[in-house]
Amino acid sequence: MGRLLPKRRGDLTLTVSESKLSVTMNIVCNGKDMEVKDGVTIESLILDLDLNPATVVVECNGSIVLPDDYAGQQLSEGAVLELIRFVGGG
Amino acid sequence: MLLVNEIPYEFRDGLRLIDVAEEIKPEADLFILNGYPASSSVILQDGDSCWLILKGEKPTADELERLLYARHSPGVHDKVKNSSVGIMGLGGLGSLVAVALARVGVGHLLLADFDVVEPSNLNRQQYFIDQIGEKKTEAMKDNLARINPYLSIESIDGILTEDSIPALFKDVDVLAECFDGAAMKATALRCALGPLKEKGFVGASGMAGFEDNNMICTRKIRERVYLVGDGETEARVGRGLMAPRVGVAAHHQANQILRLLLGVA
Repeated sequence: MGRLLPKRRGDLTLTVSESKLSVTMNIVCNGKDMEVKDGVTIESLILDLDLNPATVVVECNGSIVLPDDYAGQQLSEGAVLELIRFVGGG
Repeated sequence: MLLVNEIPYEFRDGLRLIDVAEEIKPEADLFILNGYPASSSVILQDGDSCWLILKGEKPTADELERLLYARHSPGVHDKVKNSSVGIMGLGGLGSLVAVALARVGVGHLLLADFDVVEPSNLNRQQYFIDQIGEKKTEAMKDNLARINPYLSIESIDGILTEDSIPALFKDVDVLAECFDGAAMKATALRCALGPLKEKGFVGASGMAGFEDNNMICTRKIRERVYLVGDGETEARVGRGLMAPRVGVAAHHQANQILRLLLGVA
């Protein structure tokens, strides 16, 4: 889960495995613990889950997030996220 | 004491439905006893409520109301006739939800759609071939008036948005989300969880194709907020929307709306 942070040029810890390098945090998504990239935005999380942001309702720590804020809103450690995804047809 | 067409009638031991009919409405050919069709020869019990109906006779508003009263379970009619439901989208889901709620006697319906009836709708939507080209809001009002002309039905002919939905539907008791597009479904739920959070809400997602019936279910996601469907079978090329399965989902919605109106959800 989560894309790795780009390596910095000259980073002395390159011998450490990449997974140790990337800084992660834990959130709860739809009731399940999930490890994501530190400071990930709601939009990139939705895209990482292969979902279309326009078709997902997002509740973060009990508040509805508007789609216009998906790209700008970063998650923080311990965030409780509910994603409700819709499919077309009616 | 009996109730015959909702009018008190003195009970006697051994009295049959047909005996009452001969006195009150000899031409009756359909008998409803305590909300259920019965044989005319059935012997009545004290406290029974019966309806004597002549098939083919068009009822007045009062008679139709008393008929619905008699045909529904006790306590249903008074609640639903004073209720108001908003239906967002009049396609496969919305047209069926509207028909079911009109039949059950929901007194006020607010119907919204921007589109016209077109031939590809007829595989699942409650319109007729002679309505092609008509606005769905108008066509549906006509169809509902043929089911129950005594309901109050209003309509919004236009595209709904996240900004417009809260004000347009501020007076309804329950909202039915019957959109086709997934983004609008999400928009409607945001309204229900935000500005319209006092309302009941029943949305739908995942009812295309001819997958298993029982994948379609009704899930409660918040107090007064429900989602119907299997959550995954999307309408797409090669998997269309068809009357049976869309109908299953629509009637899940209609029944859940009824449950919300009756306060049992």
